[in-house]
Amino acid sequence: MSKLIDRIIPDPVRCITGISAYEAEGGFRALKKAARAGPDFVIEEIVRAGLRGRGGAGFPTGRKWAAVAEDTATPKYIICNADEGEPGTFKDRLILEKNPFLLIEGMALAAFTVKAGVGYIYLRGEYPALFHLLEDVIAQCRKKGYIGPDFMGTGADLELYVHRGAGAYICGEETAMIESLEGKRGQPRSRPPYTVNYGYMGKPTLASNVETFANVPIILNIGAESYSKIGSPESPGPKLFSVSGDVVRPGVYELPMGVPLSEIIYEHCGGIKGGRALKAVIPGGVSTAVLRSDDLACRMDFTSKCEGSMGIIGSGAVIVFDEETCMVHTAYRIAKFFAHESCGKCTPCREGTDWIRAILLRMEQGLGVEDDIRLLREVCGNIAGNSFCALGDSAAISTIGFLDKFGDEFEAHIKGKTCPFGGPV
Amino acid sequence: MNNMNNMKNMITLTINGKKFEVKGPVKVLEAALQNNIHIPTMCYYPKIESFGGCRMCLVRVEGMYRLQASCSLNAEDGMVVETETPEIHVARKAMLEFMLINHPLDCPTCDKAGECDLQDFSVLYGAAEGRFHERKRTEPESTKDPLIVRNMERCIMCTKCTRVCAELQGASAINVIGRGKHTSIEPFSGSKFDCEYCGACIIACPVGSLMSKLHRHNYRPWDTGEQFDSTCSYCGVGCGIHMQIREDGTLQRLIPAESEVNQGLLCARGFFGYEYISSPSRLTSPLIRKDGKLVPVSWQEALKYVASRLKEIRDASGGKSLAALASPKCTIEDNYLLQKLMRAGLGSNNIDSSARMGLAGLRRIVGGLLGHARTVSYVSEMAQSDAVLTVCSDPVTEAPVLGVRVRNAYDSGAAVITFGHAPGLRHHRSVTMQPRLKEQWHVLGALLSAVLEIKKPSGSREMMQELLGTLMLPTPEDMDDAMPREVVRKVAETLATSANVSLVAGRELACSLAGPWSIMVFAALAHVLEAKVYLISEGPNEHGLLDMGCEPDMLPGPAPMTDAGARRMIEGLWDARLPSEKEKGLSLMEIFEAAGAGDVKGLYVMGENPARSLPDSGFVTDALAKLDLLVVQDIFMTETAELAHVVLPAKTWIERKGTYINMERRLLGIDAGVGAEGKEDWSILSELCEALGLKAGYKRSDDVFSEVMKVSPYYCELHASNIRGETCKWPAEGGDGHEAILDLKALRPYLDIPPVVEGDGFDIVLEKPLFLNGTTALHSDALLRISKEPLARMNTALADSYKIRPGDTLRFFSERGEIEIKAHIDPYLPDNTVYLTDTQESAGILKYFRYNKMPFTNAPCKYTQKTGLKRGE
Amino acid sequence: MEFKKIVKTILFWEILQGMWLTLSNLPPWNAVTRQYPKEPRYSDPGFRGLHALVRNPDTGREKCIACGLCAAVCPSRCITIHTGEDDKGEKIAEEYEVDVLRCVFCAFCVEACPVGAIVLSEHYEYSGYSRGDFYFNKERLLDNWDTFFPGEKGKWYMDNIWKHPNADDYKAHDDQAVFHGIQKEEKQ
Repeated sequence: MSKLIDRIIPDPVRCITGISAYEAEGGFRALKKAARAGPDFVIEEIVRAGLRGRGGAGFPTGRKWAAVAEDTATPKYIICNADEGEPGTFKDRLILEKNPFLLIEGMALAAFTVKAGVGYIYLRGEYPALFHLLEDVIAQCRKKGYIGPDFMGTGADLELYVHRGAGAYICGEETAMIESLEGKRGQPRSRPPYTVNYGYMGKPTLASNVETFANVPIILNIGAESYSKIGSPESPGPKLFSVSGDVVRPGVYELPMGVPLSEIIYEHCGGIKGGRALKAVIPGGVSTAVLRSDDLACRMDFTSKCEGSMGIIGSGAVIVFDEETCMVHTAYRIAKFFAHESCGKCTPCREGTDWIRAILLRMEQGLGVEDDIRLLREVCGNIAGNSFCALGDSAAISTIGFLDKFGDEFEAHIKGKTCPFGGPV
Repeated sequence: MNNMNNMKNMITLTINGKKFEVKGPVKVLEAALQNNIHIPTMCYYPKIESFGGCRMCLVRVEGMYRLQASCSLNAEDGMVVETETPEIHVARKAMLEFMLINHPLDCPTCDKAGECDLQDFSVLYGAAEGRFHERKRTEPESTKDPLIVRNMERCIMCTKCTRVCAELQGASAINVIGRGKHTSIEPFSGSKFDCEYCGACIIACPVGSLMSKLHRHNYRPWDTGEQFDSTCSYCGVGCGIHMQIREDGTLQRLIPAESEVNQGLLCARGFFGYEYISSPSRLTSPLIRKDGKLVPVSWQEALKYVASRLKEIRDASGGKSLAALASPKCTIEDNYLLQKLMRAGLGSNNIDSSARMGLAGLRRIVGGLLGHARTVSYVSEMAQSDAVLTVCSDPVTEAPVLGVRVRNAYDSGAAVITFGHAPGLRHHRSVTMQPRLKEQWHVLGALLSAVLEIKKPSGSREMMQELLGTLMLPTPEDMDDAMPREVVRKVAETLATSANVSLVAGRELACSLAGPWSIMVFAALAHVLEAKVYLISEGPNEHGLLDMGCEPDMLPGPAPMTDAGARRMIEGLWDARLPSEKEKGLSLMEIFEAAGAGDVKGLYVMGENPARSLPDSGFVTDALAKLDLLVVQDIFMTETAELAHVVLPAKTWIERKGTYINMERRLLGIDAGVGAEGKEDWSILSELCEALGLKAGYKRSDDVFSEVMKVSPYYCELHASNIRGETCKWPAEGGDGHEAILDLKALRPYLDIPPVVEGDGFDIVLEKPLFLNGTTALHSDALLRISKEPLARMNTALADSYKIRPGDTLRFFSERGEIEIKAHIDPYLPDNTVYLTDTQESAGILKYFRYNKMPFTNAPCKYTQKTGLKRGE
Repeated sequence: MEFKKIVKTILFWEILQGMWLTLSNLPPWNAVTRQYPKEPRYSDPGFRGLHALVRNPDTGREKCIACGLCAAVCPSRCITIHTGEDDKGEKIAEEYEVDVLRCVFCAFCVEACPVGAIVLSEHYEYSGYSRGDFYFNKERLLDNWDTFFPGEKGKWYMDNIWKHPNADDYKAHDDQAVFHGIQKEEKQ
């Protein structure tokens, strides 16, 4: 076979759901290569390639794999985080629809490298069809010996199970996901101890995003050297960007990291629908602060500076708003999301997110008072930094972002006691 | 469980500019608390895992980006921590603001006001005015549960209640439901808690969200007058209880005290079962039967009458026609004076108690074989065991706090093996062995022989070594039909290879139909495994009662009645003659047998209700009716008191001072909190002693205790003042204790394996209910509200064979009569066994059992020969 | 001269001179003594006299929610409250007794009450022959309200003299937490 898998989605149209089709595309060559070269080689390659986690946090993947591999406690687990709860993100769904075997290959590589025996795919509850698809894919792989006991003669085992979530955004957070897998309430745990040493059932656990696992076979296929040349020096590799909102061609785009935001929106997605002007962009999922049209030169990776904040890429979900969108309503809608998804463990997020939502609702309905903006800022300031996990921080960052960039719209709602865009009152 | 940092090491960290050295692993919050630096917390509870959700304990740690929750942060060497910076004060104010935005300002009507953490922190760190102008979350207060009120509007979601219920109590009865703003705490049963009602959640709740209905809306913490620490009198654990008395002298409430015994835990009885103290049915005045009716009389008249009648019977028929029942619910002082009255005043050795059914025989044999010091262990140390074997006992219902410690041990990784029926541990055990009753002791013997194959006994107890050499035991192969030998061998291996083994046994062992042999097997197991022994005593003072010689063949000390030195000393101290040592007194059931035959004419019953609590109670009641004089000293009109000629009202544990010895052999004091009608037991007995010409005239209970110290070689080192500090455990200064009073020659006939008791049909196991335990529980409205009706439980196979359907009313009958009882079918119960609820004093199930006196100990072992079940009409 | 001297001596002239001020006020038409009780003295509004428990006009019962704050703050410990529950489970004061002889009329109880359930009336004429007459229980205190604050008068006093933290224009000082009453909202 001369074909090599060098990109995450080889064919934008075709869904590769049969194992022979995947093998024909060059699948499982990375696994075979790793089986010959050994686990240390795999970790070295990932470190040299500079792969960073694709779930949103951007943690160096090689370091994580090495930490789990080094821990001597057994048994070890690998968990694929397919919860994909971040609004605006749908790239993992596409990977699972179009190239699920790539994920399996990535997980098999992980199992081989860290010597895990069991793997779980924590699949978002809202993807019921993918559950059946994944089970079928896993069965096919098992049949051909790519996973299972002593898969491919490597001496490593991997039993894969798909676990369905039940509609909680917080279960996309690593420790909350592990709690949910253990059958408990999906609430985050305190760290340290970190999951690489003390994760599922108190054992070393390697938890990564779908896209992260999907990148590993590509690294082995094309080599760490070439991989590191894709994208930016600090954030190499291809990235799937989920673009939605008021653009001509919304969808998932596989582009090198570090691509400027303007390129994504205007070149690839064809600009704003209906020829209107762009008003705001949320660059990396609702946990990142909103940007105005003059910030579009920002490069999408983990380290580029943009408007004072670093690394706006988040999960790569780009949501575009045109000039007719009411920003107060948008802020309210996002605040409502966070209030709904707060797990309730810590005081500031549990109470504060709903407070933000209530204030924004009043403002949107024209019942806001002068002091509300100052109050909102203070409440957000009290949540950020004091909450148990990043959900509280995200809620605060998101709201502050709207207040900073579009403060005039909020004031207009308060003074005019109505929405200038004719929004819901 | 953090298995990361298990090595203990010293850590030096700087808090607020001062260097402190603490022993790791420890959290920053704990390190600060140990050094008297107070960091406010809501969700931290020292006995359970940290949660980190309230965010009140945030501190600034140098080098860490965000403020850190000190309750979850491990202290590391060289850490620099600041706890009182302006940034932290802003954060605390913010957290309190968040807690208060949905918190209803119910302070004027909330019972927690004055002891509420949220109030206290708001005063220290919070804002004075709220700026929340939205709608507060509302949820109606739930008063559906009979004992606990749950108000979810006040809840700040610290989840201490949930975690305490799951991790500490092991009951897991409540949990968090919902998400975000709509989180709330709910019991798994819906609105009713339907749990063990230990009250731990109520104590843990920092705000007024979970409250007890017992003192709902009728007290304010600032109205408290005096406060005392005392000891609960429901069971042998002797939990510390803190009494709060109002300024007008009435009882405000009882809450658990942080004593070494129970460390703040209580059970439903201790927590909710004290309303009987103010029950309107309390006896308030002495009664004498005149013309067949009990009429109130004065104390003078009553005591004069009793003394004269006792003298009459003594002079007419001799001391051996008088008998007394002492009480494990009464203090050392009471029991000491009772036996003094009987022995010195009336010349009778016929004194016994309900300890005969339990601890008396166990103590005699196990204590005699192993030494008295080895018959007791600290309740709190149970949680550190590596292996626990409960022998036909359910510590969760018999000694609840001990049961909780067994659960804690299980959660920490101990192997818990339940031999026999122990429903309270069904989620906290590794193995259960439930052989048929007729063979169960033989299976225990097989277990011992399997252990002996693995571990050789060591130690210097010659008597034990000798016994082990000659004790006959069945092998696991012999008992393979009753219990698979692999199971027996596996359990033996677990026990023999564990470092820290604990054995628990109670009344079932004391009354076993296999006789003293089974008790010796138990003692041998304890010896070989070098195990900690826990003998459950059902009353708060069984050890004390036995130490005071309230047994037919013992003198206070305890010393055998044949001990010449002891006799001399006591006779000298009392200035009176003791009855002859050749006349051994009558034991518990023998007293009633003699009364039935007319040999015993007068009986003094103190704090007991034999008409209900003994097996074959129909026979006992008839015997009581034949007496010429029956004096009952009690707090309620029990069934026995209704047959009495004289009834004397006594005081409860909360109304008097005294001393108990609990199952750990720890001296515990009780204190007088409130006043009452009635006299203290020792005071009544002191006046009777005086009336009979003895040296008495004690003014306070401490005077009685001083005399006890002179009499007993074990108490001579103690002063009453030691007791209050709870530092005494006997043997006080270490040592093995008194040498065995056990006559091994007398035990020798019981070294053979007893025959398997034959019986067809089903086994009957009595299940002790957690909430109802004796007369006092029956007069506590709270316990009655949560008690379930008595049931006959069986599995599906047995039910089908009798054509019983769920909810049917059955007639259970034996050769002593029949009783109606409701059926309950549980498919997980073992075959061929019926589990009857043993509510001794209400359904009176013991009435339907006969008894055999166990040889050597005279414990009444209950049995029935012809039992059956019939569907009721 | 001698005659004048003799007359002065006989008539105690110097004494009369000295006592002129006193004697000039002796006749009844010059007296300034208030002839109480024929001339009663009326207290000014806000005078702190006999206690009264405010009656809730809607329910007819006392406004008191039995929080016990009045008893807690009283410096002479003259209020005794025994709290309990009514049949709806609400907290009520089963017994509420003020020992008026101990009271120093400081009105801390009025200030402390979160719902404005106790007030001090202007009435001060309440003598009695035994101590028992001065133990005012709940019924007597409610009667005091009906007697001394009927109708509009009560309302005027609550609005003007003892303006309550519940009122909209109440200005609390910095350290004071303000209790706006028990919210009994329906579930949303």
